[in-house]
Amino acid sequence: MTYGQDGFSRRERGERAARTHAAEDPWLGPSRRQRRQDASGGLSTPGLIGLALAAAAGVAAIGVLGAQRSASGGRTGGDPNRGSAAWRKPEIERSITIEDVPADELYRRLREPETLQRIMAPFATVETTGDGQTRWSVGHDLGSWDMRLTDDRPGEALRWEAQGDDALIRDVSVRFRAAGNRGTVVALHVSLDPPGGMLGRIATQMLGDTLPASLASKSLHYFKALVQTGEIPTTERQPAARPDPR
Amino acid sequence: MRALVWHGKEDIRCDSVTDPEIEADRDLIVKVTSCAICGSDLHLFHNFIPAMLPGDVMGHETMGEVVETGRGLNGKLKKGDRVVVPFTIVCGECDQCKRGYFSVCQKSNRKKHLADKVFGHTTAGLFGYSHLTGGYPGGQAEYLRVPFADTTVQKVPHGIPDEKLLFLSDIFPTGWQAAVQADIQPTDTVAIWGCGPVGQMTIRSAILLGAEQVVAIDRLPERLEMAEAGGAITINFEEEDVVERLNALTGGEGPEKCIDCIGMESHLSPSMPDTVYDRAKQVFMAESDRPHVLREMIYVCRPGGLISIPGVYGGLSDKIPMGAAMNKGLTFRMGQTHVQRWTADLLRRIEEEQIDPSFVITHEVSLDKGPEMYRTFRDKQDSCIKVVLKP
Repeated sequence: MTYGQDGFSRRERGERAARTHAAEDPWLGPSRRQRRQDASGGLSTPGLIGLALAAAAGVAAIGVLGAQRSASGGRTGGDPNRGSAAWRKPEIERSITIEDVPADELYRRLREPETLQRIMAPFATVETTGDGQTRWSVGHDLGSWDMRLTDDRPGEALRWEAQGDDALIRDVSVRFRAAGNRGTVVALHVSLDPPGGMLGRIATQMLGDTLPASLASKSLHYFKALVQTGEIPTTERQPAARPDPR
Repeated sequence: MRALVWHGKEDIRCDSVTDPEIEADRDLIVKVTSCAICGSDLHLFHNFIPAMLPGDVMGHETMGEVVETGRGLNGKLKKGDRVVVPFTIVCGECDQCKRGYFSVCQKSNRKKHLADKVFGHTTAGLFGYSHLTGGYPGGQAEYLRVPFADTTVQKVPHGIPDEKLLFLSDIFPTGWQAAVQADIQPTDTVAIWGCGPVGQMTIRSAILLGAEQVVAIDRLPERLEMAEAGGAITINFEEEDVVERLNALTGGEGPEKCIDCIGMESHLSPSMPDTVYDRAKQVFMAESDRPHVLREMIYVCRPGGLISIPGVYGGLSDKIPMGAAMNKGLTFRMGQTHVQRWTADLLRRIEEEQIDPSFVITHEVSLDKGPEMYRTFRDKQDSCIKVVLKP
C-alpha cells in the first residue's frame, strides 16, 4: 500500500482528509458538534459521509484489515474487478415503487431542472447550465464538475455522465419500468469516485457501500414524495429544544 | 434386520438389530422398499438435537409394503397394501389431531415428560428423531413398526414408482405446507432461503400456488440450477448481496413472503460475521442454533409481510431482531409439518402429474451404503441433493 490512484502521498492524503473533516457541505458533513446533535435529531446523511471520511483519514490500519477481508471473503466471487474489492469504485443501485404514476409522467418530472435539483440534494447541488449540461458541486474543497445528459429516452431512462476527471460522481442513471398494475419501479444507479484516493475507497468498501446507498434511497424517497404529494417531507422547521431542530 | 444406527456425533453405522414386532392393536409392520436421508437427519448426525441415544435407528422418510397387521385396524389396512409412512405419528383421536394439528399430537409421544420439559408441552412422536419425540426406531431399515397405523400412514396405489411417492412422507408436504401457510397471493414475491430438498419442494409448491415471482437463494450451482429449472429466479449468496438483490427484484419493497428452508445450521462464512458469532456461542453451549437466515428474512421482508419457517430449529437463538419484526408488523408461521393434512391431496396431484417429486433425487444406493451417503450429502459432494436408500 503506497500511493493511491490520485497520486497523493499518504501524508498529503492525511492533511486533505483532516481539512475536509472540519468543513461543512453535503459531502463532508457538519462539524463534530453538529453531528452529535444529529444523532438525537434524526439521520443526517451528510453527517454519515463525514464519518466515512473521518474513518478514511484516521484508521488506515483497519483499512488494511478491510482490504484483506474483501480479498478473502466469499462475496467477491470470480469477477476480476471485484477480486481486490479495495480498488473497486463503489456502484450502487436502489429501487423504489411509485404507485399510480405512469413512467412517462415520472420521466417528465425528472427532466424538470427543479426536480433534479431537489432530489439530488443528498448527493450534490445541481445547477442547470443549459443544453443538457448540469453543474454538480459538493462544496468548495471537493469542487464541482459538469455532467452531461447522455441518454434520454422518454418513459424509459435518463443518464448523466461526468465530463473530465475531477468528478466525485462518475455517472447517474435512472430507469423506469412498469410494476404490473401497481405503478412504476424507479431504479437509481450511481457510480462514485470517492475522495481520498485509495483510503477513501477502502473506507467506502469497509462500510459496504452503505453510505452512498442510503443517499440513493433518500433521493428516491424524495422523488416519490415530490411526485405524489408535491413536497418533500422535512422536520427542518419544527420546534425543538435544540439549536438545530432537524 | 439391517438398519442405520446412530452411535454418536458423525457416527452412523449399518448394523444388525432385532426385527420389530407388533406391540399394540393399531400397529403394523412395513417391509421397507425405499427410504431417504433428510436434511434434518444431518442435525442428528451433528448431534445438535438433544436426547439421541447410541443404538437408535435413524430415518423418517419411508415407504413399503404391509407385512403384518395388529388386530385393531378393522380391515383398513391389510397385508400387501402399499403405504407411505409420514414422519409424524398421529393418534387421530386427541384434541390436537381433531383440530388438524397433527405434528403436535398429544398421544403419540411416549416420552412426553421430556418434551414437556424442553418445549413446555409435548409434540407428536416422530420416527427416528430422538427421545424428545418418543424415541421411535426409524425407517432407514429393512422393517419398520408403525404405531397408530390407521391414522398415520397414507395408502398409495400400485403402479406408480416409489421415487414419485416416497417424498409424501416428509419433504413434499413440508415444502407444500411452507408455501400454503405463506398464504401466497398472485401479486406476491416469494423468497426462499435454501435450495436443498425442502427448498426445491417449496419452490415448486409456491409456483403451483401462483406466486408472481419466486426467488431462490443458495450457493451451490447444481442446487441453483435445479431451482431455476423449477421456475425460480436465483441468487447465489456468495456472489451477490441477498438483501440488495431482493430489493431490486421487488422495486425496493422487499418480498411479501419469506420462507426459511435452512433452519438452525446456517452456512458458516466469515463474510457473514453473525454466523461466526453463533458458531462460537454454540461451542461454548451458550446458543444451540445459528439463525442467520431468520435475521436476514426479518430485515428484508416487506412490512406487513409473512415469514414461514419449515426449517428445523432445535433450541435457543440469539440476536433475533424483534424490533424490526414487531415494527414491520410481520406474521410468523412455522412448525413441523402436519403431514396427514396434505398427503391425500398431494397424492392426487402426483397422480394427475401436476408434479413429479422424484426430480430432486441425485443418488440411489443400497442401505448398507447409507453411512457414507450421510457424509456425501452433508459435504454436498458429487453434487448430492437427495439420497434414496434401498434396503
